[in-house]
Amino acid sequence: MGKYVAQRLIAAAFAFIIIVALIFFVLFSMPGNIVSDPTIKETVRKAIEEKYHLNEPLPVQFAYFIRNYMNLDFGTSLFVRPGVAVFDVFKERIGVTIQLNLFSALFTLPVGMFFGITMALKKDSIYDIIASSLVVFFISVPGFVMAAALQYFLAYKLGWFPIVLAPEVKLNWTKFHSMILPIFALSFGSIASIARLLRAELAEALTSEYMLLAKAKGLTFRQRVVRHALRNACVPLASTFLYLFIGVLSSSLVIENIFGVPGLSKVLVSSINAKDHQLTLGITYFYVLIGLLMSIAADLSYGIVDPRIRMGGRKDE
Amino acid sequence: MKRNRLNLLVITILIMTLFLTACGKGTRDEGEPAVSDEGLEETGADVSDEPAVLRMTASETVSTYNPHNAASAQEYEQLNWVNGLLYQRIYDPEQQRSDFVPDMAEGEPIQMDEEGKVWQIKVQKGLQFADGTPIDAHSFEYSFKMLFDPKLANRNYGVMYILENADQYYTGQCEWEEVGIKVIDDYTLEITYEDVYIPNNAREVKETFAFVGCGLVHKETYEACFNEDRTENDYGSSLEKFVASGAYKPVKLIPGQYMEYEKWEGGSPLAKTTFNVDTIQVTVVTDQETALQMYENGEIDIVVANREEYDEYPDLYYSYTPDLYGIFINAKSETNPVLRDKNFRYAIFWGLDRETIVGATYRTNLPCAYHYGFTTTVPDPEDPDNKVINYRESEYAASIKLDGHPLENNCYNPDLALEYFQKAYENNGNQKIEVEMQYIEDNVTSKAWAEAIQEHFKNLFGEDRFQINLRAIPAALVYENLQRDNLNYEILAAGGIYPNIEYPWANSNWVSSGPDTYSTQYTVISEEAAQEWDDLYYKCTIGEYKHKPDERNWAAARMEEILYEEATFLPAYMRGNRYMIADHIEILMEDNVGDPFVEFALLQAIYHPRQQ
Repeated sequence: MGKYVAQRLIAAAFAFIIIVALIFFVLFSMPGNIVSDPTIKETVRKAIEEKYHLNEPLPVQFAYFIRNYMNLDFGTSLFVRPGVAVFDVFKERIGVTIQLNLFSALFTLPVGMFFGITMALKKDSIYDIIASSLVVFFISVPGFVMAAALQYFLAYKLGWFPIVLAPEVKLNWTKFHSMILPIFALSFGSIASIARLLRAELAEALTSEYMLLAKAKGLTFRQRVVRHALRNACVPLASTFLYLFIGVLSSSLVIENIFGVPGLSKVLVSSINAKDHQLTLGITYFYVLIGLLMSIAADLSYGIVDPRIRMGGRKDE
Repeated sequence: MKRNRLNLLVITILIMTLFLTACGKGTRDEGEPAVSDEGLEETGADVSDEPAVLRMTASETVSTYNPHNAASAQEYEQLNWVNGLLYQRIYDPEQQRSDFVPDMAEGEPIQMDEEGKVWQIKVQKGLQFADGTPIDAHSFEYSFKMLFDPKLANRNYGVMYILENADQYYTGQCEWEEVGIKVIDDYTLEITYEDVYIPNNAREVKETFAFVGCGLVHKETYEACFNEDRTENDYGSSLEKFVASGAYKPVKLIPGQYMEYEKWEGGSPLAKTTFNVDTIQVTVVTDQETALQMYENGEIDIVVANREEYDEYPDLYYSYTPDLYGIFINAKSETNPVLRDKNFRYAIFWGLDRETIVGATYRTNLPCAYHYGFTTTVPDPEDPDNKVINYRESEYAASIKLDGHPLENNCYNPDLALEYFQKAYENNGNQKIEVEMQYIEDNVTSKAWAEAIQEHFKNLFGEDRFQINLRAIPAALVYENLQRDNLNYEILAAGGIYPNIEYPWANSNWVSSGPDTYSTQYTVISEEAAQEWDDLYYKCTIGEYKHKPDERNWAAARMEEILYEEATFLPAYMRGNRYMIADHIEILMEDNVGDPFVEFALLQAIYHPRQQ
């Protein structure tokens, strides 16, 4: 197991370096830079380009970039937060993004599992039909439509929630109350996906022969479901959930815009538009890192959920 | 039985939700004012004794409060609230336009020599930063020195090159003592301009020092914000790294979400004399629908309301940006010779029904056939120090003709257009003229604008003789395609030009030689015309016309005439927005149209009691 984790981490490190280099060259190959605005005086343009090596050939800029990153110097934002270290900008915005996505995950998993389990247990009932229809609905409707609808009806029309995120620095009830709608908007799609997956897996498990054996051994229905069927049905769920979490993390831009959430996605888009490449690189690397670590976590989760799956074993073992 | 009860519960919840939604509290009918007129009358429409709070939205929080390197023009306004300046542009209700007034300066700049190269500015006594640090001439000198610092390479140094040896210091070629900024005594600054940039009058001096980059920085805090080698400085990046000196101080900043400012009266004297707002709350909202909902719920005081459903709303306010948009015709096209034919360009110019097409597509924009828009002003030659006159009403602008035809009726003349088209058609060997028109992909309005032009000219010139083929391009390519070195289009129905609306003769967009060459130049004129343009431009900005208002006004009109004859850009409209403003705010503009520089001057507005 340890060897397998080490192998995966080394592979992830290689992947990370390649992706980092690729992103660098793609970004810096784009036409223009932070001083492309033709109204900027030539003296100022030259001074800024020289200071940040923007007038150097791309390989030279890459060498500077690698040197700085080796020294854990992630550079300075040049436009979106001029003069502020990229890592500080990152720290400024990551909190609310993590909060939102964590709450979304905490809400998504139990609710999705509840519907998945109840739908499977009441398969082909009216409840199952209605819930399945809702699942299709929530998977089909894009997140931003759901966000706009929630905001319009529950915040604007009914006044149950604030229209935008409350301007509170710390997480308190006022802030949490205003986060409920974005959490809902982020969660509905994932809930539907989990419910559908779990329903299918659990329904199949419930009709398996080992369930018949368990019944013959005298286990109650609840024991059979919880100890045998559910555990097997959850094996694919573990990885799916982790990938859904990555998806939510990187696709919350529209939700952030609608609800005025000062998250990382918004600053990423601002930095791309402003050609503030240092900042873009810093944030992108975070997403890459999270993605790689999550994929390792997803692989490892198979072994935890189902001990029959051994990690790193040889084929002939 | 259980199943039936569950079904009943689900149905009941659905019905309740619909019922509650329909009866929801939060909304007035669309079209109903946020506060009724009757309500205002009942209160006597008094000026509020309560603290005046202005609640507005912005697309982002300020990137920094450091006036030296704030990069976005949208945030300059907020920087001017919190950083003291020697002069500031505010709205003058008597003149019904904005102008420069002393802020921390005591009175007007004093001309110290005959030619106007040296000026003195007195700093008011008794002013201080928000932490109590006194403000004097040395505070300004330090701020300017940091703005010009060669290691920092500050972005907002840009307008200061007109001071003596400023460029040399900024590029590390001379000492600070040689720069044209001197402290004469604790409350007097002496400014020396470069010979070629000697200002015409005190107003131009005030304008120089009203620029956001000239805002004060707090020395002690600024020094603490340097990195080790003094190449970076993050002053103003957070409230802890900033000390206010303007009329307001920021009291809350959540990056990306919210800013709050409170008025205080120790810094900028404008806090006492001019600004009526006590607290400003700025919420970051990028989604227009969200902003409208917040306005309807009474959570903000001003919102853009361009949509058709607000047409009948009472008390709408309009604001137009100086930039001009229209059609670019590639007069240097190597693939389609008809584009090089002036007759074709004139046909499009006179044939474009701006009122109809702009009105149908961009509902809140202002149709405009002029290269220098309706808000352009020039100094009154009779009184060049103070008064300005509308450029379009000036004698010289009124006399501009295109190929002998006066510019009337917003330049829509279908008969004349057909006449020119006939000539272009003949020059094309009586062959059908076919051109490609680019518009912005994934932009519904841009597509509608291009389609309206396509349809209009098909009907005007005849389907058998003229055809426009549409092609969508990514938004990022619009200005790249327009650049002088690319010209990668036949006709481009997107993009615009930013003219100089106070000094129209100083429009560098077309300068192709000398120190002010416009590097990317989005429109082109012929080489002969370019020579005449550059000659007039430099005569007006640094040459023999510089101090002659009448000659400059004449030159401005001649330069605009050159654009009509030669430029690849055909103006069609000025971009505008329509706003709703809460009823308890009474703005100073009599015609409900915002000033191009200070828009609605909401800090100066009159605040009546807010209706609950």
